Amino acid sequence: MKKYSFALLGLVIFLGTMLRFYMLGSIPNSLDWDEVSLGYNAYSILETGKDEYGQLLPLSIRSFGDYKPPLYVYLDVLPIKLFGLTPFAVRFPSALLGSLSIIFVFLLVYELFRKEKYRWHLAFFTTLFFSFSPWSIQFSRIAFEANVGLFFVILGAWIFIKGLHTHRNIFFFLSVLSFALSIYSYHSEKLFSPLLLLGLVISAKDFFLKRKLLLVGIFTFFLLLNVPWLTMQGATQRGQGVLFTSQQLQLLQTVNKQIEEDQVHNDSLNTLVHNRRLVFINTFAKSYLSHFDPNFLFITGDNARHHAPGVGVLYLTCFPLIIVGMFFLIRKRVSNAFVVFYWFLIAPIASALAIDAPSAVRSLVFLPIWHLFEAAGLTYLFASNLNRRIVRFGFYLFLFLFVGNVFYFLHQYFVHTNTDNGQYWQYGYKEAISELQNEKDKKIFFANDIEQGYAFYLFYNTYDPSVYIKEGGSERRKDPCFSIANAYFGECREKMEKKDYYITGKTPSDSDRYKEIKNFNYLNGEKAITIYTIQ
Amino acid sequence: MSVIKNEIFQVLFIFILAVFLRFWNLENIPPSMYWDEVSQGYNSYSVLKTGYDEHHEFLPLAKFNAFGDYKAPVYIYLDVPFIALFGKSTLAVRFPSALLGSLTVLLTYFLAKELFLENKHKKYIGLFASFLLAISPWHIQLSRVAYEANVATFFTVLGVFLFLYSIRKKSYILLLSIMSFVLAFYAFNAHRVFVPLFLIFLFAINYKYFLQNKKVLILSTLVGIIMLLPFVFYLQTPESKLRFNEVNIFTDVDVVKKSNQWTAEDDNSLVSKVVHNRRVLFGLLYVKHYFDFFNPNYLFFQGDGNPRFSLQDTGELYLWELPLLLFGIYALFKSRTKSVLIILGWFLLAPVAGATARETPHALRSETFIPTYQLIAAVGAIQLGSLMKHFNTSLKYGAAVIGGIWITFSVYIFLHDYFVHYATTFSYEWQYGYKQAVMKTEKLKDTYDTIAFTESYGRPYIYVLFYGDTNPSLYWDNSKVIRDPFGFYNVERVGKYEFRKDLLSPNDKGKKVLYVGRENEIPEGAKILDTIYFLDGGKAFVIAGSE
Repeated sequence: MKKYSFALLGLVIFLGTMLRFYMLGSIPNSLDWDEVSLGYNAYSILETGKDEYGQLLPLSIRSFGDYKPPLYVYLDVLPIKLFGLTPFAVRFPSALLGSLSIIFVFLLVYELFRKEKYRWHLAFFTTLFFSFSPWSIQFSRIAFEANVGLFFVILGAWIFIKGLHTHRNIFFFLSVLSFALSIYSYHSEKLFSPLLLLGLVISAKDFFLKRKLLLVGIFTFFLLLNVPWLTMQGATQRGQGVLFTSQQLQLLQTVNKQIEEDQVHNDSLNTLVHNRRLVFINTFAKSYLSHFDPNFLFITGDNARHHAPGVGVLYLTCFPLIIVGMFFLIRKRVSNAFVVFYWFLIAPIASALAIDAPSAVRSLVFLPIWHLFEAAGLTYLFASNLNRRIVRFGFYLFLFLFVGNVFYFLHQYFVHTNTDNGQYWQYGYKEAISELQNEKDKKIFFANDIEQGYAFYLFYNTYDPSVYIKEGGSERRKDPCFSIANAYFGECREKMEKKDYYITGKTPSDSDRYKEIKNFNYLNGEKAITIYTIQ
Repeated sequence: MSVIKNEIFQVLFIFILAVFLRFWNLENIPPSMYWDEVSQGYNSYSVLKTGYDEHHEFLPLAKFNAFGDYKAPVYIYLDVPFIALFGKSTLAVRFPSALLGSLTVLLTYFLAKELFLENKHKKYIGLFASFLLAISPWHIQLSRVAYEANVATFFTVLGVFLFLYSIRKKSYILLLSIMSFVLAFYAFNAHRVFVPLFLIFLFAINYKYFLQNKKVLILSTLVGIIMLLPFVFYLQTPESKLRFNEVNIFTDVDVVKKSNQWTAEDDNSLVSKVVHNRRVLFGLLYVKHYFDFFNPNYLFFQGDGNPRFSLQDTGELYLWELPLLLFGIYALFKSRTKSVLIILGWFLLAPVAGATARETPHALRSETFIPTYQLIAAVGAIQLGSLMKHFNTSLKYGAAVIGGIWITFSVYIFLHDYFVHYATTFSYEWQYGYKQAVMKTEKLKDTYDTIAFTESYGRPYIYVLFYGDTNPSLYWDNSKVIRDPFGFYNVERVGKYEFRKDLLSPNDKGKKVLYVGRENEIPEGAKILDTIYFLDGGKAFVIAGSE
């Protein structure tokens, strides 16, 4: 029986890995600007040890001025060395860690429910749901830092609980290291990981009350690991830009008007009642709860890059299981349910502080908890004292619908992502740049609507980073017009001469000056990008 | 002090609170009546005076044509006595809604006690649920307007209460329950879907009882069918589908386009014709609209996007009810009784009708939820209370104080925003100014040949009928009404009043004309006699006379 189960587990892990690696370089069919930037910076570090700005081994990737956390780029150095500067290589770390996450999800749940009768079932089903999870598959197949962050969170949590069970102090330090790595992977974890760590400590307060010195040691170690980014300028800048507090004016419009009206009536009590701080609390609560909007989760998702066309981030058929699973975890007083719900409740906090909530990427740390609920629902329904016939009928009905749901998702993902979402993946940039790859004499002008075109140019020409840095690197992005070899970016109109090339996704206003020479369409037939020559 | 502990006193207190919050300043908040209210009011008035409706139809049973939108009949008939009592006024038109809204609060108490008969806390569940309904933003706002849905909600709650009571007592009160449900059916469009489904559900889970009491079952079915006959005849007519086709999601062309596009991308293979079948996509679209009713932003923060249903910065429910709801759902799941099944079935069926419409979530079409949210939250409060027994004293008091402040504050802020700011901010949404404009033109009309009234605020004729001293026969004999291709009535003239897109008309030569319109619509050279302002200071109407 046991052997059989392990074979099944192996199969699930294998299938999950396949789903993360199959056609990794071509679905989604093009790299978006962040992916291109991560890839080129990794290439630059591989070749020169410096990033695109010429900064030696940076702790924060300045990129487009958004200061990305550094870990992804470093993880990508080796794959680029092995596979070259290709989309596959850029996405490799995410796909690999996404696949390894499947294993650690199993280990985590298995360890977490050590005292449970159904620990194997819980762990196995969670792994199954995680392995086929639309949410995890989506972010494992693109170079998104969040997926790497999630891996280190899962790993860290597992090691921590392992430590609790084995009483080996080294585990706690390894766990803290993993959590620190998650912080160097993605912004959300800067808030999430310390909170989760805190929750893990609270869940084992009896254990740590007897080992106060250990606790101090862990805390100090964690703090030390975080000093570099905490003391760094710029690294926190991006964080502030995306907070909803940066949109004060719109948020406070209504309340300001109400205060004015009350002032007219000399109503001083109520000018106090319309407190601006409350608006912020309210906005936070609203953004937080928006992550539980069933349409976001099961039907529509958020940004088109964050889900396959026509499906949400979780399986619709699993919705009832989630409710049932939550219920049973509380009802059965399952040990360590605290950790599960705590994790679940803090997962969207970072995302809720940002604009554009809900966000599937900023709240990726929800995983694998949703899947754990699904697994708990399935497991405990089986173990419940309901009528066997009803349970069996329900199970087959669920299985039928679930399999259909999985195929529907996989079909939408692997077939329709490329046709429906080409524009969100900046499709056409690569094609246009490759078309002019051998053009060395005439100048190539990138219109401003080709956003971050320089990064694509560097990437797809495998432009020598040492030359690029010598020429001034990306510091020149601030110039109104800057050039890389014969390519020009920004406001460069006065440098245009006859026969030069002009690349744009729009139709130029003075169209008689330009002659269309090649057109690139999205796979759904709509126009993506056009190369013109100047007449 | 013993009087405070008296249950009757407590219920009475909640009821008086509900009455106060629903009747206080009813004339002025919301600031004026919007089209449908005035239309219902005028039809009641017409029925009262003549026995005929606005379109000279004798005592319609299945529907009132009104604007061509086929209004449900119950509200209009209910309003007749109040029009007789208070005359053509805002108070009279809104009275049935406010009254039945208040009574729904009372009924909720009795319903809760009937549902949780075996529960030792049933008294507190009842008190708490009815209290939550009394202060509910959702229910207060809908009870202060002549909304048909609010009346339908009353009859639904009454129907459920009588249903449970009759089963417990094995009595023929079931007939009253069925009648009440049928009234709900005739009161609001959404209930035409909800009531039959919910009734089937109620009968199904009590099938054992009805197998033993076949007589009751047959008799009540008969009564139900007879009462539904007028509607069945109406259903044969094409206009019965008109309104539904206009608002439902299953006519959405984009879905068909998407289905065709995906099928084409799969090279029109057979499998893809099944997978990307438009029925699958319409199914998913329906689920999306169904889920919309559970959107947290709608429920707890913004409410319905239509300012006539919500303040825009308060939800349909208070945020502090969320934890109570979660505890409540947990407690209900745990207890697994028939009552739980009724509440959950009711809760899940509530948005079934509303979800077929394009505009979701919609506070009116889903008023079917009331009072399930309040019942669940009340159960949750009891659950929370018993959990707090295990807390130590300081934690208990701390939680109670923080909870108390939170609750008081958010209720206060809702009531303040509603009673102080709402009318000012949204008077435009309530067609404010029509009443004042018509009162003015009525005074001036004897000295003018024609009153040119703008159509740009929509359906001005109904305000002229309601606020003018026209009796119904004048409207039938001396008016010009055209029906547009969508079935809507377009009234172009009533007596001296002409309703125009452009206030200037070549027919006006040599006539004395009174112009009523937006500031920029008034012809040049006309002498401005009066200006009517929205409550936020913007100009609603300018009244001007030709020289």
